[in-house]
Amino acid sequence: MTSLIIGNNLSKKIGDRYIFKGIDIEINRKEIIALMGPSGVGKSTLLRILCGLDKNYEGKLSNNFVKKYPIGYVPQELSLFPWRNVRQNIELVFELRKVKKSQRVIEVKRLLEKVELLGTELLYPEDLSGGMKQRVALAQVLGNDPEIMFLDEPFSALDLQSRYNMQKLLLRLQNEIGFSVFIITHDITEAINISDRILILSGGLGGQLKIIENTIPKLKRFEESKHSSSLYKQVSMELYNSMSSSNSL
Amino acid sequence: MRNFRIIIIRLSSISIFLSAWHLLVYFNIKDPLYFNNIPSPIKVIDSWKDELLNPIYFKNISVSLYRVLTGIILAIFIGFPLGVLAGINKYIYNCVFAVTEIFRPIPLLAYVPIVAILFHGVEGSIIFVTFIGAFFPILVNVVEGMGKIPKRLVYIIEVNNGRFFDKLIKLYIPYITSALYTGTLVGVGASWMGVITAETLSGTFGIGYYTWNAYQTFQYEKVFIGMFTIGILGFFSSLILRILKSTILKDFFRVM
Repeated sequence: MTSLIIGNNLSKKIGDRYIFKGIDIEINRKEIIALMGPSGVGKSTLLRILCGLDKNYEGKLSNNFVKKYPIGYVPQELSLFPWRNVRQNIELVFELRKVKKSQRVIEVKRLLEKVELLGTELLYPEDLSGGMKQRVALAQVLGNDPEIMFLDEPFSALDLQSRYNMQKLLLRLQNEIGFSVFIITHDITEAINISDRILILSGGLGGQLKIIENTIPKLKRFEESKHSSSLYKQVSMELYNSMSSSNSL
Repeated sequence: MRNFRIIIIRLSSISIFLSAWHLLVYFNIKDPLYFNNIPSPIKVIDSWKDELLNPIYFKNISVSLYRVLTGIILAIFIGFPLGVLAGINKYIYNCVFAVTEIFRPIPLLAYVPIVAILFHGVEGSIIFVTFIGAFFPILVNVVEGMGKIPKRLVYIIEVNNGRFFDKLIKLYIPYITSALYTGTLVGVGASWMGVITAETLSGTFGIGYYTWNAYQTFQYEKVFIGMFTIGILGFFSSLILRILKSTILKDFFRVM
């Protein structure tokens, strides 16, 4: 597998305190990685370091990846601009890339089709449901043709059904387009449904990063969650134990 | 139906006010307030009908309007970019606020003697007072607005390789339009208070001067005409801003 980002000995200090210390991390091409851990251990901070938004860290990040390749970022709270309608929010990325107006129109239509939101162009974020807002945020991010998509608990505010639908949409898009995904989630089911690897950042004095390979075959993951097979239970238990030991540090 | 009810309530309220005023004058109430020299509403209205045929009355209005408008436009052109810069850069913020926090609490009336010395003519000094009246509310609101811009929206532009100019045009200015509107709405009221005060003390034309001159020449009906004219001008100034808010600026007040 080709590595897109390699982070060595990554540490983040605020004041005199380390939030996490000595983290080694690798994101490969076309891979989906879920990052989990207790609240406050620095998951969002680690994500921002990896996508180049936080340059105040110790350690080494390979290749200045984010300077060379386009990335996508969806923060925890939605990043739609309230004064722009759906079309204009997606267009924002193309404006920043200095794409011509005529081309923007075509691209926006293409992306709206991908996220199944054709017909909503003139609506504003305040008119949209939670799930629709997330779709627009995804479309906005896809406009940059990202190599890696960084998602910070993107579906946490959605109901169960909407979350399920968004997970399936994300997987379909990832399969079609081939980008990597680095997603923060608190939902074990979600992590198992979509990711190839699950990273658990523990708390305490400098974090530890545990890696769990998702051994459930990709095509069976959503199926497995419905049937609660032994394989699914095994993965769930491993995650639960890791989370419990993180919380007890 | 609801709007009709609101209109009825408002008209009733004005009628009660006018009736109370008329009765206080009619019965020549002297205690606790002295209504002996106060003209009745009917006298004021009669006098106002004559003033509406007097070109000097409209000249006074236009002169005050010009002064307020000039002051507000200057306040926006200086206060808005200064507020944006102070919101972005903490060094500029500290420089600006070290000075402005000293001058901001000073009442507009206290500026009049100094500006009378500083400016060569009366016009400049009056416009300066209207400028100061609008400048501080605009500056403070814009800086506060800048402080409320969510970091996540800045990240979206940065992650897509947007530069400072992109942030300014696509995020900062649209986001703080609502703050600028609030500052301007407050500033308009303060500018009107400022212009009346300055014209009272040093003007030769203007509705403030008209009102004060009426008092000094015992034309009490015109004092009320001046006061209500100021009130109406202030009301329409705010109304224009509210119309702008609900039309051209409508999208900038949307929330998530």
